[in-house]
Amino acid sequence: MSLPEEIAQKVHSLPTLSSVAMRLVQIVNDEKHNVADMVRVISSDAILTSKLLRLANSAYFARGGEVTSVQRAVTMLGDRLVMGIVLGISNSEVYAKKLDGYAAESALWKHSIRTAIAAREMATVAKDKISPDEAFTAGLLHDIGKAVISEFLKGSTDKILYKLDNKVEDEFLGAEQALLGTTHPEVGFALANRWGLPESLSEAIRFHHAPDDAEEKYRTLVYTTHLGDLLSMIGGTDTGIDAFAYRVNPNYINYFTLTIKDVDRILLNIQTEFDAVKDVIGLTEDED
Amino acid sequence: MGTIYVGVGDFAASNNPGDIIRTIGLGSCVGVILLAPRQRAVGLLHIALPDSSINLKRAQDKPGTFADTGIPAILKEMKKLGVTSSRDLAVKLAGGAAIMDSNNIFNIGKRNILAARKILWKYRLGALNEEVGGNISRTVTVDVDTGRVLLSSPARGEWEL
Repeated sequence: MSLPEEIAQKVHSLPTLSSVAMRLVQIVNDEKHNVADMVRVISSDAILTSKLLRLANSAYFARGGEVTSVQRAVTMLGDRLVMGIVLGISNSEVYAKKLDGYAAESALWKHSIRTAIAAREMATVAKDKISPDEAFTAGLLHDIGKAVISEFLKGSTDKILYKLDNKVEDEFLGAEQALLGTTHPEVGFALANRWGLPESLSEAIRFHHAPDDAEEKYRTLVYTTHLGDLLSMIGGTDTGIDAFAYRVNPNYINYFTLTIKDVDRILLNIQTEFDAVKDVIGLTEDED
Repeated sequence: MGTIYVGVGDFAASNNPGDIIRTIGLGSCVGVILLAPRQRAVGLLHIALPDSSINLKRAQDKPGTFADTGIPAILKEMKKLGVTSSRDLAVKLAGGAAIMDSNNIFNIGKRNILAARKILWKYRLGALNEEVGGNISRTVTVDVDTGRVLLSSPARGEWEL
């Protein structure tokens, strides 16, 4: 599907990845890569290195013993997770801006981190074994399209809320489609392709609200992203006017076995882990 | 005098003139608001889950997380401010939003509301006023001086509960 001209232009006007992030994506995409390649690229950027080490030593990631080298951080966190973290911390254009068009109360980073934690949690209870670290990365990236289309929604929030409240639209995606001719997952997919992200992640971004449309081999990953996103909203970390305006795809039961007690336990784990990481990544407790 | 922020699973009570107690973005969580006009005291609790049996350690460390441990905890705080009888208390409830889910397994908001009502009832307390459920995330602000409770949500402005 092609994007409306204005939005396609916006995707192309967004900064490409920093050279470090770009090289890292290329390295991780290459099946024959090794840890030393990643370490060399990350170490060339002092600020990135210090942020990565701070994160690796946070209560959420730390697994005993202080992490003082990039080498140790990469070995401990894994390639995909390091790539996700680097994409997050080197992309302030996408993650640090407030999503004004969504009337969001905080930057995309906050919802993305909670979704990442939630998706990772869901990966651990999936019927098919998938990498929890890849689920984390998919969660971190799932909403990048919102950073692109947010400005095109400005001035239309009343109209959108009217449509949602009066059930003219069932989900928020219908309102995006009606107003812009596209949706945040589609735009996120275009941005993912521009960044050269691996197919598993671009599929997770594109289909996180329509998981059954993803290729079968990525379905579990896409469902962890789908539910991770919704669990993040349920926990109160949303991106503004689209909060709760989405539908759970009931076919999740093919990919997870969940009781009500499991859901409670998972929500509690997400909250505990989010509390452990948010101070480190500069998410203070909601002061105005 | 200032604004006291109540995080997830936290609670606060105050009788300091000029104080405001606020909790942001309840989502499926439930805010329990306690008003004691006679003592000029208010309390706010931010419940995330209905039942502490899933994690007793968490219930000990952060009793406000669960309805069954959070409500006794906030009542104890109110007692410290001289509110000893449930007759002195007016209760309001807010939050408990839901994602659209045909199986209802993710409708944690509804279960939080039911649990909060049930536990309150044990203390002979019922909500005087509530705005719960639906598809919006609410922020709650309680003013110690006036006992006014304000709700707000992104792009929807502010209104009184």
